[in-house]
Amino acid sequence: MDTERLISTFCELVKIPSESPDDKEFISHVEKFLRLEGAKTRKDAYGNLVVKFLAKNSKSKTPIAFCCHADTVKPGVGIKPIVDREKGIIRTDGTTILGADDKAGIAEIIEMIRAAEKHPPIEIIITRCEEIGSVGAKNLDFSLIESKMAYVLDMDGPQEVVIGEATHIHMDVTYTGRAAHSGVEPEKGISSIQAAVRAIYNMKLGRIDASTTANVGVFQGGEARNSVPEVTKLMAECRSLDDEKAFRIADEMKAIFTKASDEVGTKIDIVTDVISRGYKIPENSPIVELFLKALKKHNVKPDVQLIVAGTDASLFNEKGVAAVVVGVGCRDIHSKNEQAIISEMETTTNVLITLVEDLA
Amino acid sequence: MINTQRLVDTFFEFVKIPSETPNDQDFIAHLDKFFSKMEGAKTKTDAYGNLVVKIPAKGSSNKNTVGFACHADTVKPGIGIKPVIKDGVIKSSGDTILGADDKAGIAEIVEMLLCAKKHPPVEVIIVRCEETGCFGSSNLDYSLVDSKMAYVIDTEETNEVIVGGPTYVILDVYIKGKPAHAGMAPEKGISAILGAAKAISQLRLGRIDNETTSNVGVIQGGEVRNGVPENAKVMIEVRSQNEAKANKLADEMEEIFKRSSKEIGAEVKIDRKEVLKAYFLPSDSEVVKVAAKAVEKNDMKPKIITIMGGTDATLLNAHNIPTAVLGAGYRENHTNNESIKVTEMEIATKILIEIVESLA
Repeated sequence: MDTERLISTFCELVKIPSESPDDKEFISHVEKFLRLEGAKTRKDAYGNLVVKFLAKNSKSKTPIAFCCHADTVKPGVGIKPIVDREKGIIRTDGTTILGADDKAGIAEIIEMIRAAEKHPPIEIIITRCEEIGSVGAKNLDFSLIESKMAYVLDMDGPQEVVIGEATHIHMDVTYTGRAAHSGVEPEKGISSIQAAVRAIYNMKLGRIDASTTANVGVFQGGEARNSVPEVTKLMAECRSLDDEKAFRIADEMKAIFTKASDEVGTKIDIVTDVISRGYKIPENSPIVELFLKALKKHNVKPDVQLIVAGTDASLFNEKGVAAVVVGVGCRDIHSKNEQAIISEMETTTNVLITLVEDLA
Repeated sequence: MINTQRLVDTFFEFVKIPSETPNDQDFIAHLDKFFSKMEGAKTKTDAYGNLVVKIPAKGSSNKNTVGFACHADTVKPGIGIKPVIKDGVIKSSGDTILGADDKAGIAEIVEMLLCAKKHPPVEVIIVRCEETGCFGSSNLDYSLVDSKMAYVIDTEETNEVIVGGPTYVILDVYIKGKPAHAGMAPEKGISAILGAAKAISQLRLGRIDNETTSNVGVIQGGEVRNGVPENAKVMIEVRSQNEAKANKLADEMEEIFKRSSKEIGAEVKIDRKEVLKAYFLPSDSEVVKVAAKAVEKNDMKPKIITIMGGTDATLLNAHNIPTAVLGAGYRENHTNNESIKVTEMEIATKILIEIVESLA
């Protein structure tokens, strides 16, 4: 691999702004770039980019996929990457983020394609709008994708390998009671706040068990001190690394919310939104073993993790494409201090090269 | 004899001068000039801008001053009021309130002074900014006031005599827990919402007894769904005709919040304020007897009541001036449909005349 070429590709990519949801121009740029490298490219209806490279020096017919997202958080316009060779990092002037999340991953995949001496058919998937809730991956046209295995490059360090994520469920609860002047005729009112506190008081919140959490994060009830509060809104969530348990806890929470409403005499409306479905890939499955083997070859001690946050990988797994999330070599993402660590970018690139050469 | 045309003209003159809270000083200046023209009247404004008018006794050797109080301000929309009479009912012709609350009372006092054949020394007290919380009477320079008893002319029905009002205590409770990511490390957080819910579910709320109520009117807790909520604010009120009961209930609430917060390790801060102090005028007190008799003389049965809200009378009573509230005759105040019947203004005036003549 060529480190200077990797750095130059990276700097070129971060200079093109792609704050979500305004990431289409950046995707077109990546598309042109990869066509020049000999790929066939296609965009789906949502604007996600699917890129295909034929096998190189390999008879393998089994494609392998790599996925990054195109968008960045704000402030991401006018990024000026500064390469600090002494410290071995790339940073900004402090007025913007760097965009290593997730453009370091894109640069590494490109360098892998250029440097690998052999590889099987490769698919590169660049999704839109990950930062605002994996909207691109949710709308991805999976009929365009042939791979059964995918590596999502979207963690910090090259040693990180995420093999499982939580199922994450949102609940928006609205209690509607009846307003009344609280000094004159409180008996004519029905307090929505009383219904909500009764539910919360009876609910197990926080850490439910090692793999499960629940929270009521926002409580907004009533409008005036001297009125029996008519409307109360709660924003709640639960997560579990055990998919079935997440749904069970959500059902239990909903039952408690509803029971309190019945007891106090309010009306209740609960809107449930499944934000992401959890998955857990066995550590002895090929997708994990291949990656661990490549890490070992480059003397990187793996950090195999389960995480509660949602990534694009949960959508891939949901659609039957086994996916794990691996690191790109960045720090302090979503801040103006964001950095790319040059040695880690090299490591990731070398690991990817080993991986595809092993599959060839 | 009452000069009905003069009474209506005075009322019209007053409502045409805007005095939306807190911009009621021009109207007070107008009244200052108006009363200064009356025989023997001396006027004075206090530092807050309230107007006190002193009128010497007429045909009476009674030295005990009787006070009549109204407020100068109106709710919105109260600019450009065009009063019209139709079928003996006065309303505003445009999209405004009428302003009979409380200018009908002022016009009735003026007519009373012009008609009464005899009266003791009279004080007319015009206070500012009643509508937003009795600020005028709260800030009144009581050293200027000589009244031994008083009447606030500021309710609807002309046979009403309001003889009691509540102690009103407000509590703002601030609960501070500890923030944490709800999915990754909920055990590191302390939920302020849980602290609030725990406490509120133990509070006595609503109608406590025939003279006591309490209410949790507003809760605002947390900022994001996926954070263990650090802060919650709860807005509470307690009312009772019985001062001791109100304070006891407020004490009990404070205790419950402190205990609940302690149980979960949250901090709590409680801002408590007694906004109003309960008063009760017995039926055999002079101020009530005189008013009731005046109502009876006008062929009506006096309606002697206590209310659960504060009025300017609450503040006058707190300054040891026994004060009842009487009807000005208006209806649907605080709406653009506000109205007053000319006959009601006549009755209210006759009652005032009866009061001062009987005290002469």
